[in-house]
Amino acid sequence: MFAFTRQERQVILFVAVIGLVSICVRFAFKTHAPRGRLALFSPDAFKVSVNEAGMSELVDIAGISSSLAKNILAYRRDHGPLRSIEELKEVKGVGEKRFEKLKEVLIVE
Amino acid sequence: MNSQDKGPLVACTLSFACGIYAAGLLQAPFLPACIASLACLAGSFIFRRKHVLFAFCILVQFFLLGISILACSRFCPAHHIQRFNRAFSSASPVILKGRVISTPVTKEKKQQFRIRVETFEDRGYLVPCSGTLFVVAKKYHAVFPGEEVLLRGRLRRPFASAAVPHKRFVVKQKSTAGIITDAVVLKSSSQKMALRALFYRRISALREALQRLLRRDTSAVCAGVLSAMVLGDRGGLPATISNMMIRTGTVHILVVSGFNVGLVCFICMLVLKILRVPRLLRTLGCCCLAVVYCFVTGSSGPVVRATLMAVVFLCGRLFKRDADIGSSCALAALIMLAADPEELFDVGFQLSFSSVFAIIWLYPCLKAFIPPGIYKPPFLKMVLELLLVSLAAWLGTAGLIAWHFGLLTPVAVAANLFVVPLASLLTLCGFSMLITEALLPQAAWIFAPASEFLVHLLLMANNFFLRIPGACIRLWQD
Repeated sequence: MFAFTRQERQVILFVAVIGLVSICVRFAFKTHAPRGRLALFSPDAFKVSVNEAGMSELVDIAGISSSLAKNILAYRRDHGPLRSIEELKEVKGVGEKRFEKLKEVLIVE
Repeated sequence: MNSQDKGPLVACTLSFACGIYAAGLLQAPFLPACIASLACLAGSFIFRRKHVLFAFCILVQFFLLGISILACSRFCPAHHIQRFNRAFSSASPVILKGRVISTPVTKEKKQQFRIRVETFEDRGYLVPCSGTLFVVAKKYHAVFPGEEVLLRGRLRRPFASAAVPHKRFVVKQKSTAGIITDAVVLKSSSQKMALRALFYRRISALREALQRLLRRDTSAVCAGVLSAMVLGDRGGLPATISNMMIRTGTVHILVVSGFNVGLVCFICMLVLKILRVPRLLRTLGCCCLAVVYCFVTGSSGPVVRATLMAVVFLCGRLFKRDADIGSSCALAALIMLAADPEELFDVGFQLSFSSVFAIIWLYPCLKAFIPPGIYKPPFLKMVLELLLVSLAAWLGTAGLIAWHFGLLTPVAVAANLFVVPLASLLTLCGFSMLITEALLPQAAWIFAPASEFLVHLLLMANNFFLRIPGACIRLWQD
């Protein structure tokens, strides 16, 4: 059997105590974690407001490149806020196919 | 320091790993294991002055800690996504919101990553939940660890084999809750965890820049091999090459491991020493660079092990302590298992540690069998030692490879004798190319032909060993 030195015994006991305490705390957090409240789902819950979104928010959306985001911002600057989601088709670079995808993630408020 | 003093940490880690394995086999409950662990801890305190009893208590204590940590990690709270059976059986896609927790990889034109799910939509309600899901996205979308993503896809159980073709990969990825197939990333945002996402964005940009440097003067095949060996990115590597290396038992050279981390540390130390940087700053700088390199290469099991060992070794040197490779390896394993006990069931983790432990302990035993007189010509001594290292590593990993992949590769012992020195030279060439490309691009072409030649030799050597009868024995079909 190997021999522990006095220092090793102290360190190993310390590690064992810390390990046991952290496992128990982790388990307690898992079992008693506050559960979020159930909310009524609106299909628009996750959508981004096209009139309020900035460059970074628009680029984060799948299907919007930085050039398209610039076009949307330019359209907003020239024509004012969009009045309906269909108006998005007027933006340069948005065809029928892309519009179908974008209307799932964008909203006009 | 005598050999007896080197054992305790290794024994504790082994005991801890055995506990995790036993918990995986027996589905042990958390509370009894935790109470027993507490009792053993009390025993360790009581018998702390009695060597044998203390050693016994502490080993049992680490075994029970292993059981507790896995039971805790596998515990499913009431709102765990796994419990929402209806979401899994639904034919229509679900919408989920979560946070990316792994570096996305692109395989077969599909993007794969893991998310920690936070809410999902169920029959008109937003349901808060927890758990980890494995995502297979139809198209590439630039997402990074730490970012919040909104997804739409079909939720499936990982073991519903007919529905999910990625069963083995999912198990390897430790995604116990489920898998989202045909996922579409609707939105990703890094606003809430800016620092972590920003760090990973920078690391990703650095990796891409390094890949571009490697591709600049080399062919696609050479760049693919170099990228795998130096940056740990096997995306550009033709499947035929990696399959060939699997069958000759030399695929480990395509994984970033101790040699690469050691090389990075050595280059950093050398440069800082030439610049006359004080010892403390030199060590800190070296540790930081090793950690950054670990992230750039994707933080896989072997590279995390090597980085931890390098940090322990460097810190040991700083405090003028003897570096014991077995203890530093055991400490690396203990840290990795404490952070994520599921790592024990990962093939990469098992192969990485078993090969290192085999080289540490089996190699001296094998060397003892060789009569001393045979070492007369120095060249023969070097060849014999290399052969014994290769044999030790093969003996250490052969069982695991046979168990996981159904392959027995006896040719690996001889193949590694040629392939490992070639791979070492190639890695050196790769690092030299990266440094010269970054500092003096005009001179980088010097290393490109050398790399091409070495890759050619490497493939030829592999091809030769593969043609030897009985080189690779398939024990069963996967």
